[in-house]
Amino acid sequence: MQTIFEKYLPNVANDPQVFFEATWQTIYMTFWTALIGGALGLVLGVILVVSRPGGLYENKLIFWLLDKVINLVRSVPFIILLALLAVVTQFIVKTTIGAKAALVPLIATVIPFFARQVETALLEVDPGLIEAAQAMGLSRLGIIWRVYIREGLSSLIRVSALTMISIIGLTAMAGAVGAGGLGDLAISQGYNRFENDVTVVATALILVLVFLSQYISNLLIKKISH
Amino acid sequence: MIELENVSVVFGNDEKKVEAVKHVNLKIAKGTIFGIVGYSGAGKSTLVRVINRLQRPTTGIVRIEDCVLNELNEKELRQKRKEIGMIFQHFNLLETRTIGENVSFPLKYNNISKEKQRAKVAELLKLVGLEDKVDAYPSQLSGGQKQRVAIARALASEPKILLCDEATSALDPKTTKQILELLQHLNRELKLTIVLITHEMQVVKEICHQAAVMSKGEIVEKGTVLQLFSKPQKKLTAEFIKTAFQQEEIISKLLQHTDLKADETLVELAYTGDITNEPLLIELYEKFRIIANVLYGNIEYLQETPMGKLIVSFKGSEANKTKSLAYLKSRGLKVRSLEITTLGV
Repeated sequence: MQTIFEKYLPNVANDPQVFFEATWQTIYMTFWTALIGGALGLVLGVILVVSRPGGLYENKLIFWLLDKVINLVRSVPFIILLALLAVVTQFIVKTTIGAKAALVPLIATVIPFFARQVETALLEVDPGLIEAAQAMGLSRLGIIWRVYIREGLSSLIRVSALTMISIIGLTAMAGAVGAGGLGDLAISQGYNRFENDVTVVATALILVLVFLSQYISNLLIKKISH
Repeated sequence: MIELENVSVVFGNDEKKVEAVKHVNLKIAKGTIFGIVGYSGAGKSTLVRVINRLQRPTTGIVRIEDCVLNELNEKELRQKRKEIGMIFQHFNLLETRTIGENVSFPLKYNNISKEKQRAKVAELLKLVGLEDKVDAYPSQLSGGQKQRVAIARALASEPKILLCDEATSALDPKTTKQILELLQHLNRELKLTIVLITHEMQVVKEICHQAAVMSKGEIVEKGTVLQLFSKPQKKLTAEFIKTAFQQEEIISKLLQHTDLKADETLVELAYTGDITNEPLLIELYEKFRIIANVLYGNIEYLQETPMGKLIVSFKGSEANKTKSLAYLKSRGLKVRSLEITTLGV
């Protein structure tokens, strides 16, 4: 066993420790980005749905502003956003390199992305349900929580998994600012030093993370939908 | 009592204005089943939403008992809405919740204990005949059952008024009948005022006490169902009534195969109420020597009142025919001379 491992994956066998480190960095970045970006994206997504014309809190200005800002931020390629946000990053986390520093642009990218996904998911909720809840005398916040979020839950989980996978992809690019992670490992060691086995194993580990989030979301959707 | 006073609803801005409801005046008495009938796009859905202010009227006043709905703030309006149940064409049940949870949905956060909620749900489901479905999900029910659940849910907060927005339009005729029977039962048992909008005159005929016919945002005719059916004043009303009886086609077919002799005249007689018990055609013979031959006859019951229609051929002298027609009119019948060529309308 040991010999096969050493024969086919020599560089991996040489220093397996870096994989643990890189996997941890990827999970670290994914987790915090998903948590903070997810929460803020959810709020903005809900605001997009309720402020639109005909929504519960119809407000032309807020809807228009939010819609445009989201489109704007989403138009900037992530790798450029990393550089563009350096000042902000410096201000918030007091450094511009490392996994922690990568969190700021990661979150900035994920918020508008997730907000759009949430918007699409919640717009799938039958408007008839909203009307029925209004006719029952529910408050507007009650409708957001008990109808939009609850009835749109399986769609929300579906888009959360999609966003999660997208975050894992983005973390690979965060290596550009020295954030580490599996993507960085695949490039800086696997690609630059011609250690193909490192690239392959790093990719495999990323795939494991992707499949895992997909699997968990499918499990949850199955559990709540009827 | 629900009162709409000069209610109008206008959508859009100055450039593209759509008047969905135009100057509607309506009084719906407590405990009645009131039907609003009209083709799609007539504005009836908008009108019914004015009653619980899901649609704010552009102008006009909406009054329920002594409460002017226009003046309520959001919180007061929410409270008022609990007194007005509503059911919909597509049921609008919450798919992720069980039937029991759907019915108790309006009760949550109302400071009602769990036990009381459960008891209420059981009581309501029994009322609509679905007590065994508490733990089922909406996707496991048929259309008719879903509408029953929606009715139970609408009744959870013990409303005095129930608004039905095309509640039977997505159901087959047999299920429609069952739902209508249930609504009629609720009207009697709970003294529930029901406002029902529909495009099917059949539904109005089945359970409504009073009705209004709507077209292009306006109410063109209103009255008791008996009045509307026996003496429709407007062409549109007559058109709707035809759809409810489906007898015109039978009559025109029948007449195509009838050969009239020279001294025979065709007459349509329509009558309502007690007069159906009297042997009028015999009287015609005794008084005027008119031989009346019945070609078509039909009696419908509207709210327990019989409403009849006969097509007869009169045989006798012209003078006597005229006299007998006048006599029938004096007895309260609606008389119309028919000519075969004008039929088939």
